[in-house]
Amino acid sequence: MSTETIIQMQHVNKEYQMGDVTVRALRDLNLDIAAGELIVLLGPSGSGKTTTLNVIGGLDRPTAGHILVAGDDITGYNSKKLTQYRRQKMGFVFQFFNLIPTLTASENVEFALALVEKDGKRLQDKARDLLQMVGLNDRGDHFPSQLSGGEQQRVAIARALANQPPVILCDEPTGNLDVETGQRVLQVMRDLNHQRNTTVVLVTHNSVIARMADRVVRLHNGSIADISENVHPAPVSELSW
Amino acid sequence: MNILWRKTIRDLRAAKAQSIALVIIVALGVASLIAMAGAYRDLSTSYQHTYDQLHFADVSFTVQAAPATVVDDIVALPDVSAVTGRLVVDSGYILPDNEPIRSRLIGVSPQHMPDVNAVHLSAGRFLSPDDTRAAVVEAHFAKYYGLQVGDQVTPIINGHKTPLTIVGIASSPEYLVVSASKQDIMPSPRTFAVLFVSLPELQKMVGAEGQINNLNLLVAKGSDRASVIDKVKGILQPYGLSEILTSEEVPSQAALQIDLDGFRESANVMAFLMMFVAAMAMYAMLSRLIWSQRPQIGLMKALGYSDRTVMIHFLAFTLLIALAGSLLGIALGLPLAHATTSAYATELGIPLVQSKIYPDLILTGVIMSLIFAVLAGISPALASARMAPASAMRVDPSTALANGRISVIERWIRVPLGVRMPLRDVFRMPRRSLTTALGIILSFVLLLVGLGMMDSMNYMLSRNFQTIERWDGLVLFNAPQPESVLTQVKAIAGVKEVEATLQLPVRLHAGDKEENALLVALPSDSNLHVLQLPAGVTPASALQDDQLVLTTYLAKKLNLSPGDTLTVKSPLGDHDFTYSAATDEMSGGVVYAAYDTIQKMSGLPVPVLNSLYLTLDAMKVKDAKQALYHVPGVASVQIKQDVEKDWQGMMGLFYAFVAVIFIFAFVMAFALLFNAMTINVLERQREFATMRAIGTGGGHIARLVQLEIVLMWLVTLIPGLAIGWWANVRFVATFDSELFIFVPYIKPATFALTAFVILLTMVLSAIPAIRHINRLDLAEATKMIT
Repeated sequence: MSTETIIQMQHVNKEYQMGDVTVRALRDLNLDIAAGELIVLLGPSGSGKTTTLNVIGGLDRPTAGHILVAGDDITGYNSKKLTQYRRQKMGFVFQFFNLIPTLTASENVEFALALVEKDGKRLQDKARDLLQMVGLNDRGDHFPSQLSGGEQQRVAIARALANQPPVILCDEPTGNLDVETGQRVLQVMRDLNHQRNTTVVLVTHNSVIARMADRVVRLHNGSIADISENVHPAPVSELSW
Repeated sequence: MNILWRKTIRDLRAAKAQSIALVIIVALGVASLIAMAGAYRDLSTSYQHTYDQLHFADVSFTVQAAPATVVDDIVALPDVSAVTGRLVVDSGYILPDNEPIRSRLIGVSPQHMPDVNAVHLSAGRFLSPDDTRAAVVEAHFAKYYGLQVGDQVTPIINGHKTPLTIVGIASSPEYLVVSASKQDIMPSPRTFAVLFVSLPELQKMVGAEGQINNLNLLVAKGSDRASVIDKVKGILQPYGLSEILTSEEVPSQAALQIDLDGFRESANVMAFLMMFVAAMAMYAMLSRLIWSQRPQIGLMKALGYSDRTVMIHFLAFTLLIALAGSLLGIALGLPLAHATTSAYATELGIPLVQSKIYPDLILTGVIMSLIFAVLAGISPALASARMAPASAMRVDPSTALANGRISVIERWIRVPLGVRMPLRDVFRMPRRSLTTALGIILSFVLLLVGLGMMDSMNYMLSRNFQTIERWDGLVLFNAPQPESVLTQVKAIAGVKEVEATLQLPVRLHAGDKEENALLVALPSDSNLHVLQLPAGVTPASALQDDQLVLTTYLAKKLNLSPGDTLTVKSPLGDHDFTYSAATDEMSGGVVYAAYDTIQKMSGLPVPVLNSLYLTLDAMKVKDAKQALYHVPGVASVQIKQDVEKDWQGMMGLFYAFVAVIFIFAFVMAFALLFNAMTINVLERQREFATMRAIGTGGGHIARLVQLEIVLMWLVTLIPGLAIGWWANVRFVATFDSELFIFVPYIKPATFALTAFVILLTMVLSAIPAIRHINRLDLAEATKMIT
């Protein structure tokens, strides 16, 4: 892990209008994330962790404040620039995997790769390599409906890695998996964080998972309640919930 | 309000655009039924009312000449309630710019309004015994030329221009459509003047004192018309009985009947088609709604709602849409029916119009829409009732996954990734794709039926005027003429070629079947009327000896095959002929024989003719026409160019009718495809949102959706065009009659246009859904389960 800051959140606020009520999802949030860091955002439901992830990922815009990613302020980006940003800088892993059901595992990865790579042969080779990396080299021709939940999530991780983004954002990646499968998915995260120096921001409400992080940010009611550092992050194999 | 009803209404409101589209489709179906069937009934009753009020003849007889006293013999028959004897003379007419047109002078008693075939005066008065050189002018002609009471009209009587003063303008039940004869059904107020004049005066002018040649009668209520006809035939036989027309056979009535039949067919076919389309669209929407509300259905059942309640709850969606559509359809249909009736009545000059609201028709529309709604909703509603609550409520992402599979096409050819996904989406949910495909095919059918009607009509006209009728002018004489008249006509400046023909009204008998027809005796080598015979059959071989060529329509009506014998009854007597071949022509009731054969059959010492085909010098048509009207005995001179123009004029109303069908079809196709496309796209919101999240641009997503649309269009293209063609053939065939035969025809350009319009509609109808996808709240949409 380097000490270079890749994400800076400065006085970020996010408000939603729900009927007549204004919900303040984020309140003056300030957070720096270092490149190559594995950080866990922890908190109960409604604490603002997914909103934090969404504004970092460019899926949503803050109401006030600034978010700098690799020095660029993304809060001023228009829709087109945000699309480019997501394509090049961010990888997403969702709780419900969000695979395209009509594409095979390999094609799901190719779909993301095709946004930057046009050569068909290279596309297939890269997709195969990525699936191999997540331990699914023999499942490339299977459709999502023919894969287990854990396998689907690993395909989603391979897809997130397709364009070698410096940051991977994971929203409850194990939320829909059993413990063993969840461990396998987390191991993949840890490995790519270590081996590729990819920054991983992981949202969870499961405090056990926080033990594997370099840093844990506890959110409460849209604000940071506490930030703690794990000097010795726990190996994934030791996590159980 | 019951909580479930409240939920139903809110769910409909949530899918506002789709619900509105469905309501519009149902409304168009109900409106088309009410408007077209209503106009059909209005027109039927208006015609009937006019006929009743003006004592339209049950039968009309034409003879060569009979003493006026014969009327007394006929009226004395017990089954006859009234008879009017008239002298009808066809002649020329000189317009103010010296252009000659046709006229028909009808001599009626000036003592009183005729008992049969009375007229409805719109201005002035009827003839009186004190009048000299007075006329009552038929309303269409008067309207066309802006004639008023006090103006003069100038028919040619006995070769002389004879000015008459207009004393009245009137509509006649015989000329609601101004057709001169069965073979000339084109309404032509521009070229055909009908003038009612004093009978004694006309008799004097044409040198037929005390003579009549046309008798119209009313059959007593409850009497058998056929037996009356037989009795009258017996009385009139000695006077050269040449034609018997029942009320249905009068050209005007026959032409109106075609219109009415067209209305009825269109009303039935269009309403059924539209309801079917609406049902398909409702089925698709309800299926999707039930799929997306699985957890709610599970909850309802868990709470204790019965299967029946769940089923009725979802069935209520389609029923409410049908009900709303019916109400809108009624609101649209009633004024449309009135407007259609008014437009037709004005265009045709129907004097006594009756327009009313038909509650039974409204009820039929509502019931029909509700039946289709139940048919559309029952299967998805049953599926909702059968859902197991536990599995319905389980939030399992895998339930959101339709099974992906390799499409059939990919097994044969390798397709790029960008095409693979849209391709598999087409085959992903077979039932949904099938429903969408059926909807697209129906859109093809709707458009092709509308446009095909227009093409068929244009094709029929162009074939008739360019290929079959090669003459420039057609001259008809009042009575048979010796062939010496040919020399006189050939000498007229501008006349290039002349062919003599003899035209006779005949009755054909084959076995137990009988048909009225016009016998045309023409030279076997005629090149001015080209018979459309089967391949390998020449006019010379088909017309040699005692052989006849029949139109396809007549051959079918009489159930004849080549080689069969038939009897022809004409003023020349009864003769047996052999049917040799059929000619495929626009006119339905015409039979052709060789000119020489008929001359021999007549037994007359010298050959006679009563009509001529001419070719004319294009620069001298007007002069030639004038000169021809001054040839003694000439009843009418038709210039093909004018006839074509009259057809084109009449086409205005027809095109307007087709345009309405086309607009209905287009709106329906758009609404249907809008729903299908919206459902297809919205069902996959999460997929598209995920694509957006990982950096796929809005344009790329739009292209993927549009590519899927193009693929769907390609899949439906051939069946759509084929079924559309078939529907057009069936629809066009319903217009066939003795007066003219429609040939089903669709131009290749129309197929191309239809295909393009459907594709364009599909592409446009998906735009709102694509915009919705590109504006999705990605943070929310990526978390959706379904």
